[in-house]
Amino acid sequence: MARSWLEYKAPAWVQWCPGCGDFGILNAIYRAVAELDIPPERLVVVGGIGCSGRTTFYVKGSNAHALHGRAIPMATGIKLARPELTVIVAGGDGDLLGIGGGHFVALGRRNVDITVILFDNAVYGLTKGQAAPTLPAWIKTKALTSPNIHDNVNPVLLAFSAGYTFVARGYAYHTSQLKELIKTAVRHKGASFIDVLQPCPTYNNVMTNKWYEERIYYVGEDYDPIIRTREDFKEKLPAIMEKLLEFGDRIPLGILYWDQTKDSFEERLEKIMPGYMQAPPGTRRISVDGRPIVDPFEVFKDRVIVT
Amino acid sequence: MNNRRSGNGRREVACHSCAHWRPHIFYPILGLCSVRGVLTFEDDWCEHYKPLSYGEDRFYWCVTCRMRLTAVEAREHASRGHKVYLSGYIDPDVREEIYDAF
Amino acid sequence: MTDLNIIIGGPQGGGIESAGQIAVKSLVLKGYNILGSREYHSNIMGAHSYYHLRAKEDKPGSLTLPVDALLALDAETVLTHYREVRPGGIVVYDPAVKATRVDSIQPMAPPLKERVKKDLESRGLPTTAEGALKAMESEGVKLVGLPLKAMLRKVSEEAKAPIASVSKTVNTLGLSAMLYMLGVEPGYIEKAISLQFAGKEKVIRMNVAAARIAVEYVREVYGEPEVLPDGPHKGKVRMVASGNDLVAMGKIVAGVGFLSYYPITPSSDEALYLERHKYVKLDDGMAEKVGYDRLSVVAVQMEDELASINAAIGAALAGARSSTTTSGPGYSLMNEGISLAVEAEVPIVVTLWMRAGPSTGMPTRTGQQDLLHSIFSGHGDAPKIVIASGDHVEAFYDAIKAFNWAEIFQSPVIHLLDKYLASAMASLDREELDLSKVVIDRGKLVDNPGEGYLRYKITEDGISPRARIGDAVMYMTGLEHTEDGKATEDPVAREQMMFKRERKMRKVLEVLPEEDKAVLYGDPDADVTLVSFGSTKGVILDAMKMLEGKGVKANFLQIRLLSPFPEDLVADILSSAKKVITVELNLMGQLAFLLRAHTGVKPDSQVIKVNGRPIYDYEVVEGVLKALDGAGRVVVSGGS
Ligand SMILES: Cc1ncc(C[n+]2csc(CCOP(=O)(O)OP(=O)(O)O)c2C)c(N)n1
Ligand SMILES: [Zn+2]
Repeated sequence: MARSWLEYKAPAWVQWCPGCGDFGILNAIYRAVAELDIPPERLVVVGGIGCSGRTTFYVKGSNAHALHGRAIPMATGIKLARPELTVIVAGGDGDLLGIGGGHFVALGRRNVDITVILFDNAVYGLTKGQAAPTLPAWIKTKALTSPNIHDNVNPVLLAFSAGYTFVARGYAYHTSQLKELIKTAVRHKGASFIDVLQPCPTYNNVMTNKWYEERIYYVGEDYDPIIRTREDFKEKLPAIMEKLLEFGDRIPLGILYWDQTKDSFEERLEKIMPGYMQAPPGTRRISVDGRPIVDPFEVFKDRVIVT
Repeated sequence: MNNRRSGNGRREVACHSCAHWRPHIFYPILGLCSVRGVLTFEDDWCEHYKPLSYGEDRFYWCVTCRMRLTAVEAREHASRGHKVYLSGYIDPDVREEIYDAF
Repeated sequence: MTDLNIIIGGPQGGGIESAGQIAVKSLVLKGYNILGSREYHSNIMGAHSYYHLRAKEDKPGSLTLPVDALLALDAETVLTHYREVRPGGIVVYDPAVKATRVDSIQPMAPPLKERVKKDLESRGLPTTAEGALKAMESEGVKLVGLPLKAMLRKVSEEAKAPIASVSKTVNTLGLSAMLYMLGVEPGYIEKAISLQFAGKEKVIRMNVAAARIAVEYVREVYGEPEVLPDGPHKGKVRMVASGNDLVAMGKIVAGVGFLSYYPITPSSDEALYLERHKYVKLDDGMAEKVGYDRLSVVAVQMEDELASINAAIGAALAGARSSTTTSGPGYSLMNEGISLAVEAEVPIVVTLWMRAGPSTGMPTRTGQQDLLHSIFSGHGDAPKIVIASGDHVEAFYDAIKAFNWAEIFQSPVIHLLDKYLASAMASLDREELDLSKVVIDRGKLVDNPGEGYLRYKITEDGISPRARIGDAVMYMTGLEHTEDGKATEDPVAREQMMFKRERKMRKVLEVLPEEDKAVLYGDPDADVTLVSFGSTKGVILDAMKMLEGKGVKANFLQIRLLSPFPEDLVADILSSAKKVITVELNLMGQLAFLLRAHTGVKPDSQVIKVNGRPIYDYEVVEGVLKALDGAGRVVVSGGS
């Protein structure tokens, strides 16, 4: 490997609680980007607001820390302005699926080449443990005054139906497996989603490490989530749906769905505007000697009248 | 029978009273003949003529109100002298004439 | 001197837009300057809409009432506008609408129906279109009846065309008859038709045939009119564009690379026009210089305004000239993003087209109600740049300047405009969009930041070297931060950053030229100083001339930069003002409020308009005269 994962450790005090699953995810990110050999200045980690969003400051990269819920649109703007960069979104379940739920869905529709890592602790960590959208109904964590009476969303099914072309689930403490998932997700050209289950030792006293370890399992060799043709889709859909829906006594981990047939948003832009990738908005020159490069009377002929 | 005229010289048996006719939603002196697929003037006539009635349970179009009506409403509007038809005709290029409005 | 004023009205979707465009083009071809505005309901089709336009030798700064000619394509138009035609003017209508009763017109607003009925009854006239026509006639308006059905039949016979294509000429018949009666030669009308429907030969043929038949008819019935003399602007390459168009043009000239938006009136047409031109082929010489031959703008319709502003911020961070466009409701949703752009020092341009609020209000009507909203947007002491354009030409240049300022000062720039300017069309000369006046200044953007780069380096002017995301290890954040972009709550670091951001705004006031801050028009010694901002500019300049005719010497202070407020300059100008009257299209007197807050000057009077219609020249005159009579606040209420 060209780079050590230590090169990606930003000099910062990582201020998560002891035992927090975020450490595992952070470690998996370090190792994935190191093995992928992404130069830190070309790596963009966009974080939301929440404990998880702080990842922005812990990974050495050219990073942006967004507003609560808005990491995905910010990452979208960055990626479309400079499609050559590697863009990873790090956000919590409240951030990505609660306040930012609309953007989560929209990214799937666009299939922008961004990897979204959901730090799924089922609670709102930074605001003292309120129920997050992934907390199952009737669970009463210590922070709640009464049991949760909202049902939980299924993040992987939501991602699938929204149009994400890579959908996986990992576990925060299984850093080696998670690292591999992240690497595959980053390499995939399209919107990738990894639901990373993680205990929150401070607020989620129900969905603990033990709770997860009793339920999680990795999908086996016999499970084929890869769609290479439209026929594949029809054929494999029932098995894929089964895995996507499974969440309870057993929770599948690994790549659950991987559609390799779809163009990314950048490729679609390139189709309607050939040359976009070669001279993208972020880096192309917009002036010559401080002067504009287009003349309105040449470009906007539809508004010109010769009297 | 297409020569029967009312007091004001208007033919009563003409497109404007035909069940096959779809008046232009803004300029109802014109309309679409749904049988022949051509636009005609309100006082044109052809052999496909069939008098308008509001018995069928379906939607109708009131030119006077520029509104879609149910059969019950259609009978009521017609009884008040409104011009009610089975449907209206919208120019296919109408989009070029309207604005973004919300 | 020609001063031609026209209203073309009918049902939304009934051809008002192309009739208005053909009228505009005919008069521009004839050598005039035009200003034309669309007034329409928040409705897809069927509700009343109208095109209001003015043609003059010099530039019309304002629309006005009453008009010289009304083209009424339906009964509702007759009943809506019958009091807006001057004696000696004309109304073109189809006699078939005469019998239509006010009460039977479903789309007509009930309060308007009541007002019209009351008026007609008080004159002893029937409450029908005929009553309204009689009222016009009694005031000296010439009635020009066009039997549309007979004429359409003639078009169909003479052009040997199916009625389907003939049906598209109803508006052209009326329009051509009206323009001819006003002295516009048929040749101009026909050329305008060819321009309007360029590329659609059949449609052109049909409409030209209709124009000829209409002209023939009115010539026969009403005789040959006096020919309107040609205007002074013939033989030129000109442009006719809306405010929406010009802002989109300005953005493209400025080098915009990214536009995110969520559709909302009156901003959508800007995005639409930009999208139409998002992919531009450069000529070979330019391609060689810039290293690419196709300029592509990423224009993305986002899922909401939250996404729009945050995506625009992302693209700006990555180095694109980046923008979003919206109106009040969308801007409300963007507020948090504005605050982020201030804190993280992101150069974005937000085009804010004001429309009539509060809330969804009257989406397609105009107003200037978001002045304070724009200045005070974003929580937590978030200073930003707000620039308001006074007219079409300013809108173009300001769109470009906004990007320069955004990048020079690394700040959000709010470009404030309104619905009236958005949809109003104006004729422009080549010299008015003069590229030699345009510079592209990207401020302290650095291509190779190198090792140890600090995004938020403390500098004397508060402005740090700015690297693109992707070119250096760095951290951008909406949290308070140290120079390296790492979050901090240290009180000293915090203060440093607060004052750094403040210094940038000081710098704005220092380096912007006066013409971009506040401009005084007219004699500095005038008896009255009118103070306003935005699209009232032309109206007030026109009104000043009218006031002079009435013996009132007025000057006009146009405030362009609303934030940071150029308080020294404005205070200085106002210190010699004898009487100060603000003119603005909002209830609270938002500009008057700012004047008091920044300069201590309490306007002697305020002229306001809040009915959602643009303000007209005569209303400013009326307002000023009343103010001079001692009125503290004058509400003007013209328009339909
Ligand atoms: C915050 C905000 N943004 C944008 C708009 C403008 N707007 C009004 S309706 C509409 C879209 C309506 O589409 P849809 O919900 O599909 O309803 P439809 O008209 O198709 O029934 C938009 C974008 C608004 N009113 N408020
Ligand atoms: Zn009716």
